[in-house]
Amino acid sequence: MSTSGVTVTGLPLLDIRDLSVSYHRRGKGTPAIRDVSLDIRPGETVALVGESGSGKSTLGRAVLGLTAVTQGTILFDGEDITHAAGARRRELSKSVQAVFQDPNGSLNPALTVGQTLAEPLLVHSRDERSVVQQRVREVLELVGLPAEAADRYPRQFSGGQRQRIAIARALVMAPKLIVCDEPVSALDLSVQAQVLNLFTDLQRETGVSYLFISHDLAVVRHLAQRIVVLYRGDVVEHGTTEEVYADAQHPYTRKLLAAAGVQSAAPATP
Amino acid sequence: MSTPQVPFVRRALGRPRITVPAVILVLELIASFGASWLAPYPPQQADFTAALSGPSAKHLLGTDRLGRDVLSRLMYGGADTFREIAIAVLITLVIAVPLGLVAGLRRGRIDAVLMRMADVVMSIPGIILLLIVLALFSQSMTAAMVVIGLLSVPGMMRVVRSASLTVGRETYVAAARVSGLGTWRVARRHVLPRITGLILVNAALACANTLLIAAGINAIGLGVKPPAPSWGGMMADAAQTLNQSLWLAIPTGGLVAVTAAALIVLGDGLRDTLAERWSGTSHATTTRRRTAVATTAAAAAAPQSDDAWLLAEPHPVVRLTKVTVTAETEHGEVELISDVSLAVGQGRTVGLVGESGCGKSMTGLALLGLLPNGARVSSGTVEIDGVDVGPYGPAQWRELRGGTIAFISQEPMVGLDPLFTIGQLLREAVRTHEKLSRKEATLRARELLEQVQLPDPDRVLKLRPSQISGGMAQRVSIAVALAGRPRILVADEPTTALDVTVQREIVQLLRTIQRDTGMALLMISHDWDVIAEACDTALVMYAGQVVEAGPTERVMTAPLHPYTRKLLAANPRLATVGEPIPTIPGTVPPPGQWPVGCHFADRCPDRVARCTEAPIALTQPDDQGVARCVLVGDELGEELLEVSS
Repeated sequence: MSTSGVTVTGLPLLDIRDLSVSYHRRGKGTPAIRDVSLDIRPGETVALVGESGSGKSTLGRAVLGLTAVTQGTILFDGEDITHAAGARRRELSKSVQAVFQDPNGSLNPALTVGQTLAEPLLVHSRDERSVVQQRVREVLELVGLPAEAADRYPRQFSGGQRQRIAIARALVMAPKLIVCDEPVSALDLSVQAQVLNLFTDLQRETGVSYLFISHDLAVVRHLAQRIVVLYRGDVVEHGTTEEVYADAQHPYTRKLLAAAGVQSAAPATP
Repeated sequence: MSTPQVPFVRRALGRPRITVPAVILVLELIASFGASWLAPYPPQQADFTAALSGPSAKHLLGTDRLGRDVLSRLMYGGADTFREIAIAVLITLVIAVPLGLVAGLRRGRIDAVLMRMADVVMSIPGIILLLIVLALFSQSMTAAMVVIGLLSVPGMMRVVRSASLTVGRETYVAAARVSGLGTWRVARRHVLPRITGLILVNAALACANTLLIAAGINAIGLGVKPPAPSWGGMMADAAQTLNQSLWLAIPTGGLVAVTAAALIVLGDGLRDTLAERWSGTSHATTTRRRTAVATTAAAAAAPQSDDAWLLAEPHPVVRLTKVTVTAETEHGEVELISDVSLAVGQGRTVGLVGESGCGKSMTGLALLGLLPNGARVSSGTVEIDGVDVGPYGPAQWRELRGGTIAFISQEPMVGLDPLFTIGQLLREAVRTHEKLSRKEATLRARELLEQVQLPDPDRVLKLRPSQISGGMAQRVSIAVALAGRPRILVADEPTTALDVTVQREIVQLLRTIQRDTGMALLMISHDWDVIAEACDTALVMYAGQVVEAGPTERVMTAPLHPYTRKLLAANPRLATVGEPIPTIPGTVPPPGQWPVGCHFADRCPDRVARCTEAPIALTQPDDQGVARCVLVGDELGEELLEVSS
C-alpha cells in the first residue's frame, strides 16, 4: 500500500497490453512505442517517466484517442477502446480526461474560464444553465479558485492558476481517469508544489486515477504508487515507487534518479 | 454567445477607424434603399436645359449629358450595387467557410479532395466564364454575381483552411476533443471565433472587389441596361463626356472608390477590435487612463538601501546601481523592477532566483538593452566594463551585444533559424564579430562546437536545427553566444525546458567554459539546484525587488528573508513523500499592484504591523549579505536595525 493513503482496489481501470504506435513519415513507419504494457487500478497513480522522445506522450495520446494505435489493445473498465471513435469516443470522454503541459496553450484565449469549464457539460447533457453554472462553481472551488474566476479570460491568470483551470476542466465530468501529460514541468518549483498537492487532494476526495507523465522522478514520487520508465519507446523499468527508488535495475533509471537529485540537495528547514 | 457584447460595441464606437467607414456605409445604404422617398428627382427625369451642369443648389452633384440629376441616379443605382455585393460575398462565405474549416480540422482525405476541387475551380478563366454567363442569362447581374461568388470560394476556402490548421494544432483544441467535442463543435466554439477577424478582413476585400467588378461589367454595358441607373454605367457615361465635363467623373468614380475604401478599413478595424476582447491589447483604455493612476511604490519616499554589499564584486564586468524599470500600461506608468542593484565580476557567477513575475528576466533585459516596447530604465545606472550605457543608441548596443555581452534563453530552438545549417548559423555569428574568410570561419565554428562539448562537430555543422535534440540545441545556442568572445553571458532559465538528465550537463558546461575563458555569468533561474551548482552569489528577487542576497551556500543553508525560506522549502525534490509539499500560499502580486510596504507581506507567515507601514530598505546584518526584511535583526537575536529611514 502506498504512503499517500489512497485505497487501491479491484480490477484494473486501464489495462494496456502490448501497445505499439508508429508514426508514418514518407511511407516509413517509425515506432514511437513498442509493446508497452501497463495497468492502472481505480484510485491509483501510475507514473510514466522518460526523456523527451521516449514515447511517453505518445502513449498518453493513444489512451485519449488523439493518436492511432498500430498494434495491441487498450482496455478501459474491461472494454476494448483501442480504436474507439465518434460517438463511442465522445461517451468515453466522460470517464477519461486530460491535463496538458502548456498552461498557456491548453486554454482557448477567446473563451472565458466559465465557458471553457462548461464545455464538457454542454456536450454531454442538456442541463439547465443554472445547473451548469453550479457545477462550474463547484470545480473552481475544488481547485482552489474563486467563483468569480468564471467570468475572466485565461490571460488574467498566472501560469499556476491556468493549470488549476485546466485541472478543473478535467474534473467537470467527474472522470475515473485523468491523463496528465507533464502537467507541472512548465511551472516554477514553488508552483509545482501547489499543483502537486492539488493532485493529491483531488485523488483523496474523488478517487480518480492518474496516468502521470513526467520527465522528473523527483516530482512523480509524491503522487505515484507505481512507476513505469520508458526509454526510446521500450519499457525498461516497472515497479512500485519504493522499489524503483530503492533498487533501480536499469542504468537509465539510475541516471534519472541521479538527475532528480532527491538525496543530494541539502534540506532547508524553515 | 454569452460573452458580454456591450464593451465590444462601446470600444468599437470610440474608434474612428470603425465609426467613419461605418457611418459612410450606413448613409449610403439609407440613401440607396430609401431612394424612392429621399431622392430629389426620379432617376429618368431629364432636364435638357441643364445638361452636364456642375453642382448647384438645384442639382447638388450636377447633371449628366441628358440633364438627369446625378445624386438621384447614384441613389437609385445604389440598391442594386449593394444587392449584387451581398449575393456574391454571401455565396462565397456560406460555401467557403464550412469547407475550409472541415478541410483544416479533419485533414486527411477530405482535405485532399477539397483542395483538388479548389484547384480545379481556380483554373477556370473567370472573365470568360462571366461573359458567357452574361450572354446566356440575358445580362442578368444576379447570375453574374453568383458566378463571382462561386469563383471566389477556393481563395476564401484556402484562407480559412490554413488558419484552421494553425488553430487546430493548439493544445486547447486537443483538450476540447478530449472533452468530447466533435469536429463541428470544435470548429464553432474554438476555431471560428479565433479566425473571425481574418474572415472579416477577407470578406471586406471580397466586397470591395465585387463592387469594382460589378461596376466594371456595367461600365462596359454588359450588365444593367440603360437607361436604368447603375454606378458602373454612370462611370462609363462620365468617361464618354470627359472632354466636355471633368466634373461628372468625380461623384461617380469617387463614390465607388470611397465605398471600396470604407469596406476595407471597416474590416480591418473590426478585426482589431474583436481580437482585443481576449488578447488584452487595448489602445483606447491606455489613452483614457494614462493620467489616472500614479505609481504607488514610487510615490512613497524610498528609504536608503544598503547596496554596498551587492556592488562589492571584484573586477565588475557589469554593474546595475539602483535600477528602476517602468512601463506604460493601461494603468499608467508602472514599475516592473524597483531599485535593483547588482554586479557581476570577471569569472564570477551571480544567480537571480525567484518565482515567475518577480522581475528576474526584466533585470536581464535591462542589462542587455533589450527592454520590451514601452519599458525603460527610469532611474539608476547600468555600467558595462565601467562605462555608463544609459545614453547608448541602438548601434552602440548592437556592438555591445554578442560582443561584450551575450544571451541564451529558455527556448534554444527559437533563436536558431530553421532554414540554415548549424554551420551557416555559427559562421554568420563568427563573421559579425571578426573579419574572417569562409574557411577560417568554418574552423572557428568547429572550435566553438568543441568548446560546447558536442561530439562529432563536423557532422553537427551540417545539421539543421530541426534535426537536433533540445539539449544539443542549447549547446549550439551557447556556441553562438560564445562566437563574439563575450565578457558576460546572461543565461535566462537555460535549463528549464530541458530533460532533467540534460539540465545538469548544461550547467556544468557553462561552469567549464567560464573557468576556461574568465567570462562573467548572470544566471536567471527558479531552480535552486541550478543556482546551487552554478552560482557564487545568489540574489533572491520578489515582486520587482532584491529581497535577499549573499554567498549561495549561506543563502541556501541560512536564509534571512522569510520569502527565501519559503521558496527553498517549496521544492518537490526536498519534500517528504506522503506529506503535503510545503507551499507559499497565494501568488506574486503583478506590477502595479505592489503594496507600499514589504511586497511579500500578504503571503508572509511572520508578518508584523511594521511590515506594511512604509517601504522596506535592504539591510546588511553582517558581511554575509543583505536582506529586505524588518525582522532580520530580530531573527539574529541582535536587536539591530531600526529599518525605516
